[in-house]
Amino acid sequence: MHAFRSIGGFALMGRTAALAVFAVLFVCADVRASDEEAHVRGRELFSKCERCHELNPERGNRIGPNLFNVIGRPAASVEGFGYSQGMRDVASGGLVWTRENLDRFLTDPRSVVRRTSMSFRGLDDDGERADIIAFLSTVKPDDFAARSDADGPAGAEIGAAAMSMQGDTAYGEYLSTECVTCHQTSGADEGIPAIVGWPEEDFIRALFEYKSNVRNHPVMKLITSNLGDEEIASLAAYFSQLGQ
Amino acid sequence: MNGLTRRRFAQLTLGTAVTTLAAPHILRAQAKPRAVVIGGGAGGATAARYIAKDSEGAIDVTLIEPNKTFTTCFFSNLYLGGFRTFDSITHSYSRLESGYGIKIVHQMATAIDRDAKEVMLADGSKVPYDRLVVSPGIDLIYDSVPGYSQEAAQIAPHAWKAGPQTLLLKNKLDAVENGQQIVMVAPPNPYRCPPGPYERVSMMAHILKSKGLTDAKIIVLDPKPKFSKQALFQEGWMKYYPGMVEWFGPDVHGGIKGVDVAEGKVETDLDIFEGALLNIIPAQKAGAIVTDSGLAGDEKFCAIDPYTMRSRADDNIYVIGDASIAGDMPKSGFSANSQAKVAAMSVRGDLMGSKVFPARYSNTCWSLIETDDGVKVGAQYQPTDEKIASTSTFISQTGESEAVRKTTYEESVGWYAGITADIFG
Repeated sequence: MHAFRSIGGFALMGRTAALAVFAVLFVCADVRASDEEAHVRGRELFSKCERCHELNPERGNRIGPNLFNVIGRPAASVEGFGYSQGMRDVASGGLVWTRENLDRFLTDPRSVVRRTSMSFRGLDDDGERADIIAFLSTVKPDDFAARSDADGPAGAEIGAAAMSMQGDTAYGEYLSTECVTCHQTSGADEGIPAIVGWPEEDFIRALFEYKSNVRNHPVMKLITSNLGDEEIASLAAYFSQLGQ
Repeated sequence: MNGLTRRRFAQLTLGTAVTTLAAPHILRAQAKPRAVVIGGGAGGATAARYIAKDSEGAIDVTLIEPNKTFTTCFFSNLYLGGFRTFDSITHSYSRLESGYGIKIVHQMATAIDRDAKEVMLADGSKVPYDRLVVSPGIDLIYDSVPGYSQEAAQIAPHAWKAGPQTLLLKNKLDAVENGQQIVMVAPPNPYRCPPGPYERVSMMAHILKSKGLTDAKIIVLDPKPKFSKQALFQEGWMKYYPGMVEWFGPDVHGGIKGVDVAEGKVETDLDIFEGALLNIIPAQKAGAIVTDSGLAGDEKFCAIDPYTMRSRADDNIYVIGDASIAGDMPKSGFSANSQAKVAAMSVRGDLMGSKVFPARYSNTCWSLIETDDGVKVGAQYQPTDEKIASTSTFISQTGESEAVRKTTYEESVGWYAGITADIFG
């Protein structure tokens, strides 16, 4: 009966009006589908970011600040994160992470924050940036509960032995003399990533990833080749307390 | 800390105890032990800074360097190519003085009295030391290319010590006209690098090409049959500067007979090459103060203990950088900086009994071939009883993507900022 009535209802409408209703319904469905797809694509693309950025609001900052609810947030406003002077400067100039500003930043980070310590060089593809921003603007705590428990931040076992050690900062300071030929103790990044103030686990993971070619960089592979668990733990301990 | 590590720390501590026993006569003799450094380049300035920084005022540090500023040989080719300003590769010593309490003496060190443990200065005064770090860089053996001399270098610059020579070469490079030729005589091994001769060729070609001087040429007359990163450079020259660069090894030119800078000619067995600009890079030896004070024996460079950079000839003296025989390490600013930190640690161990960790050495050299096309070569080293030996190496590959090459160049820019901060504070 209902079905019949509906059909009858449409039958009473003009042909054009009926088409318009269908069109609107389809468009709405399409918008929802494309939002969903952008979110999914954005989540994939966010793998570029998640070596440094945590999204789960239950977790804190990592190499970069936590990005939960970043859209609309004033720059350099996450508590407890050691921002670069460059980021603090643009923040005091009133920069807010609107979608537009985030899009500019992700296109070419240094054009927005000249001395950011973020080593990411930018994403040329307009669509990919839009997807990441779509993902960031729709992510909810629930999205992460299952995921972060299962994965941890990218494979928990690499470097586990070093992570369980207490690094010796004096030994780390000595070993660091080899690092600071390229990486600046001030935390400045002018083509070589800043490595000060990182959480120790992230630092250890990164060095083990260079050792094992998960991260592919010939200089870092060489430098890490004769660093053992204790050396890496000590470097992590030393650099984590720099710039704090 | 695991068992193995504990043992190693125990060894280190034992080593420390021994040096502490040896040190008191110095500590008793005066208020503060004195470390003196000769030469304010990548080696000397790093050594002075690390000794001062890590001893936190407990060691009196003096740096002897005649020049008020230091222009780095590394990136001096990028200045020739127009990628850097001269100012951006020139550094002052002010932060070493104000930030680390290092006493800077702007004079030439003329001699070392090793018995009295004093450095003689050009004005006749003396600087006493308990430990001396000698980092004078290279001297040029001008007559290794017959006809070349210090005077001739005013016409045909070597530009192998960055400064006025670099400015002179830049002026002459910028004056080259279409149809003219640049002739470079490359140095024999071992030579200071950077500035790399082949990066320099690339930067010269970049200038000629960007000015549209497509009929200008660069001839390289090389006493060596092959050179570092040869495949990478030759690939780059073919790609960016086709027909502009010609490299001749000894099997082609048959030997470099001599140079006449007034005539602008270089004579080889094969032919006489004429150039509107001659860039003559002769053979090299340690800075004269090393050879004059007997630290090098009959050699051109100074033998060192690979574990500490201590001179084999004198326990109170360390020789670092280009002037040392550093085994497999090249004569680069990166190497000098790396060796300086090992020496500085050992000096502190000598004078304060502080912990001396096992030496670590590394080197990476970047070269720019054309805009955004950078390549690199590097190695890790370990001291052995015989020498500082290379343990692993890497080099950029031919045919790499543009993105990889651009990243490599950007990395070199970051490295420059990093190492100069590490050297000059």
